Amino acid sequence: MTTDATQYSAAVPAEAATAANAPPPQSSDAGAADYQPLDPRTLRLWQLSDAIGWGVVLFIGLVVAVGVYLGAPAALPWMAGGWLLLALLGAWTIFSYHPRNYRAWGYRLDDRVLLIKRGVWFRSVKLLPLPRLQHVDIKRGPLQRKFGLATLTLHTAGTHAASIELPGLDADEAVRLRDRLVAAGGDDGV
Amino acid sequence: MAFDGTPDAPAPQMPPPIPVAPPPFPLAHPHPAGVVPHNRLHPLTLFFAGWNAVRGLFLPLLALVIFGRRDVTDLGWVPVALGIAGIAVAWSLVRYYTFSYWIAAGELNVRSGLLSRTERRIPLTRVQDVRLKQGVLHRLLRMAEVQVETAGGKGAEATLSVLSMAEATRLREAIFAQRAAMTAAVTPPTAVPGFETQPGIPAVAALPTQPQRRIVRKVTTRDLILAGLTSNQLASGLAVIGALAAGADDMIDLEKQAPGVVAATEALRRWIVTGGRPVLVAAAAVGLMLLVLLWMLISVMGSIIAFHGFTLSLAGEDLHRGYGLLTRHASSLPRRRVQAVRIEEGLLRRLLGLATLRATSAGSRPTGNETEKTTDILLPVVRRDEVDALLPDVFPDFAIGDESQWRRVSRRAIRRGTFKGSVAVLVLTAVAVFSQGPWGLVLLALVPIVYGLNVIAYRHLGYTTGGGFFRTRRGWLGRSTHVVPVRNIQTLVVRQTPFDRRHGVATVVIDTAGQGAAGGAPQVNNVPFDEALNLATNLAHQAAAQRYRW
Repeated sequence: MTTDATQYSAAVPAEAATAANAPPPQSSDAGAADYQPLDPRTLRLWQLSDAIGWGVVLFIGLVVAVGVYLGAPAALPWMAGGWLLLALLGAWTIFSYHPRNYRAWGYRLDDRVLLIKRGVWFRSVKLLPLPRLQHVDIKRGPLQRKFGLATLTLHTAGTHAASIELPGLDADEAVRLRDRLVAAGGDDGV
Repeated sequence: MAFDGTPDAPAPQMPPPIPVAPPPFPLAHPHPAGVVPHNRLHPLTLFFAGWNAVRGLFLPLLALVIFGRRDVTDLGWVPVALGIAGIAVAWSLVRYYTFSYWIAAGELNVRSGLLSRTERRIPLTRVQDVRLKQGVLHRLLRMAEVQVETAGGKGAEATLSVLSMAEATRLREAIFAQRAAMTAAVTPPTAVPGFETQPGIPAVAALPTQPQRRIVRKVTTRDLILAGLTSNQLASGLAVIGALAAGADDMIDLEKQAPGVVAATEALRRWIVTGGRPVLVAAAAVGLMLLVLLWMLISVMGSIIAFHGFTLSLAGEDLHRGYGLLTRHASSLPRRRVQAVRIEEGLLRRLLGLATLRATSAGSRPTGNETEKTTDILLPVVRRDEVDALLPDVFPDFAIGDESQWRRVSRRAIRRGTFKGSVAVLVLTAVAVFSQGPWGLVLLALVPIVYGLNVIAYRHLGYTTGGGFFRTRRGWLGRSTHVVPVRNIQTLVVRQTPFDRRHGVATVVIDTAGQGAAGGAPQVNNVPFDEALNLATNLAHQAAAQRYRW
């Protein structure tokens, strides 16, 4: 557990604001540098799974378009245009959206608080005081296993934000992080 | 005894055990029935089962008679009804004879079932609430339905229906007393999680007496009448009436579409013009007033029926609530399970300086919507200026801090609110200009008003931390204030929509246990982003430094 401590060098132990009226910690402008990025393979995984999805959609679109063309040749420009539009949307998702989404994700262990940021347009930073952690799931889908990745799901006793997902971690790293989080949480009276 | 030749000696005087018959069939379990008496439901259970069956049949029968065009004198339905009621009674007989409950080794045991038997054990330390509920019939017969609830899970963990009122009270007190003793025996430094029940827990009789019960507040009937007169229901009802009155005017335009209406409206118009008008106006006014009065009466009645005799009291660490005119409710809430408190002042209530006090608790929510409105109410109506003095009864460590510490959000809130409101006004104006001509432009005068309202709203929006509590309030006409102990914070979310980012602001949302699905999470909008992140980080670190106790 200590071996990967360097990975968290960014974890600034902000003034442990235990006192009730402690001054706020130094304004961190949430620059990407503070946060640990997801494993780079995550981006490839997202792109691959989306490429498969879009491939299926475009194939079906092609079959439909050909079918319509055989029935009503006049509709060809519409069919071709629509199909191209779909293809462009797919390409945009894979080559523009996913990289941006990947860069938007990040996590940071800040003493006994885990911060997770995400979102391209609708951004959020979730702050989880680790003693509130109820349990942690590690999930690995078939594709994730191929890529050696895992998703951590963090559960609290809360309601609307009771489970927080942290996808795209290296599988071993996920286990280490889970142990770290649980250890940092300590024994809360739950 | 007679067979050894001696005359019958009087049997040694044993205190009669609590109403019990031996279990109808033996069932292997670690607490021999000889040690702890197994209790039964009250025999009147059968009556209530039959009553419920009859009640359940009443509407279908009515429907059959009315819609089936069956002659009432044709008694063909009687055997069917009797059959169904018979099945219900037989079912409840089985249930009555197979249902038993008892307290042993710090656990409430409930056993039921004929074919598939269930034995449920509920550690008393996990019991969140023991609710008593009495409908009118229950009250006449001095019976009660008991629901035992634990944290988590939906609905009651065990429902005992029905017990005699005396037995229900005894069970409730026994559970609370034992729970208190167990917690006290283990607690001294801090509560130990996963507390193991100990076999040596004293029996009910040997327990320390119930902690002193202190009445925190009694809601008077006068206050309940005020609550009914100022309820949101009433406000929305008045709004509906207003809308109807306004809409009635437009009805006259209908003539264009429906030729049949033309004659009628023409006649009406003529009548109005030729002197009928004052009569019509008077009739409308009287009708409207009657409607308003009726609505007020319904609202007041509703308030009194729901909350008659509402009493909030504190016994040891438990907040007790008792209320209801027809159906009485008694429930309790360990105060450390109160996650957050909301002080609600609707428009009308705020004018009168009244508020409603609600608690979010980490307990189970009753299923069904019947009680949803009332379960989390700490006080249905209370004078606003008394609330601060009451809060320490809910949060023992609450101290009203320096009130000058309230922080305002970014002034951008005014601009954004005005922008949104102005867009709405512009749309309205456009519609008005198209339909009514240039006079519609008058609506543009609303824009300064929208601005003014937003300035006022901004001044009433704020948050404060300190003393281990986070508080936020919003609203000028109607106001709602959240009080969240920092130790109860589960997660904090700093959110930014694309518009938020353009203005450099963010929303801070606080997640605690037990928040309803209907929203109502404490949140502050339009906080400058850096400040929002600092606030959230600060609160998260404070929360991490404290224990969260169930």
